[in-house]
Amino acid sequence: MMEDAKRLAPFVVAVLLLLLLPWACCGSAAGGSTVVIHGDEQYQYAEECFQDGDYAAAMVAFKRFVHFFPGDERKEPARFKIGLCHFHLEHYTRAADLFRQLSGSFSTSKISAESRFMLAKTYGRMGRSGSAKRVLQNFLAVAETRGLKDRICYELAWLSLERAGTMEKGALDRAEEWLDRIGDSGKARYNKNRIKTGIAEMKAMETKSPAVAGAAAIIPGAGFVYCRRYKDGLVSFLLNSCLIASAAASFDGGNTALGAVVSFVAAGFYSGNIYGSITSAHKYNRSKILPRLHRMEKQYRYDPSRHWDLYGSSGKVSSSGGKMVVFRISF
Amino acid sequence: MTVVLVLLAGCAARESTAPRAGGVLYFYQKHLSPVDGDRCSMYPTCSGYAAETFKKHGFPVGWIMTCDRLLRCGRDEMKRSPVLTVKGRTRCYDPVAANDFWWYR
Repeated sequence: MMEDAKRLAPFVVAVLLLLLLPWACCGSAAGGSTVVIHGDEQYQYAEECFQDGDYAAAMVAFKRFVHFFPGDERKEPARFKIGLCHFHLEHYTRAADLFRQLSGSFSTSKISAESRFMLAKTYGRMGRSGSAKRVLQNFLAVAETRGLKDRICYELAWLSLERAGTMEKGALDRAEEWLDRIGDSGKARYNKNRIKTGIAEMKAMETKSPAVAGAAAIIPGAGFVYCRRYKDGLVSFLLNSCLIASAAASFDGGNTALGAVVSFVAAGFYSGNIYGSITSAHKYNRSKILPRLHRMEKQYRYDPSRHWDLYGSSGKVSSSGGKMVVFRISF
Repeated sequence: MTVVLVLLAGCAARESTAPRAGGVLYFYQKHLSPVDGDRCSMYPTCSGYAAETFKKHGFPVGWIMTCDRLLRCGRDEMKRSPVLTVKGRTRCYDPVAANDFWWYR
């Protein structure tokens, strides 16, 4: 009898384990907590992350919002914010794709308008100022209200000012022209007169002519000296003189091959001297203009998007179209 | 010729851009620069700058810009360009983009 019981014991234990295992598994799940997240909470959390500057977390939170609450009226603002997160994280290609979609899908909404502005800004960051300009000019062609036109002109003026920072010819004049197109109603808001004064000051600054620098560089080093680079000028003069003299000496001595090699090097340094002189003049001008531009941007650049109640931000609870949208996470 | 070699040697550095650079630059970076030591006061170093500019602009312009850089290395540029600390050494930041911004968009 005892032997039978010993033989059956493992089977009994196995059967008991099989019976208890599902219960144990279910028990652990049932014992965890269930979190019910409303659309408002999710949006608010995403907003908080965004406001804190944690754009990676904000992007995930906004994406989750868009995925789980597709019927929410804040879906488009959330997508716009995803675009902004990409922009801040310097994922410019993705940001541009998203802003392009948003600018087309809701053509009359503020989201669409903001998307166009952001698309231009993103192109600007990508170094595609031509595309940025086209986006804004196309927008200007279809804009109806005076306020919107003023803002587009203002953004175009800043785009030109940014180009002035790269020494683009006539960029300051173009910036002035765009500012002139801002109406009286937007004059104070966009600091039109102050920016125009700043542009006039920049135009009056002492600058170096790249053409003069390049012409002066015909005498090696003179272009650098014109741009107040005296050491570079001296080195350029000595090096080029030595190279030209040694090339001439090589040819005179019948060493044609050596003469050709030295001439090749001399030609490179002579051209480098001219190129460097022109670049030095541009760098000189840029060193004068850029600090002024940055100061102006800090003082006078107005970002209208901050003043628009556009994104349903600040964690406000909206009606969600009267629907209660929830999802559950079980731990 | 000696002057050119002295200038190049003055810009010796072990910053490796080797496989992307041409054969001459690769040979210079792999075999000559380690012997002479890391002495270039600019960032990217002159050989790194040459590799970058050849890659970006091709032969004639790359060659001219490299010669221009060798002329400027360690002199007036030090007072005019931003300063960086790279591997514990203070260097003058002078990338290709800071020298072609006025014509290359």
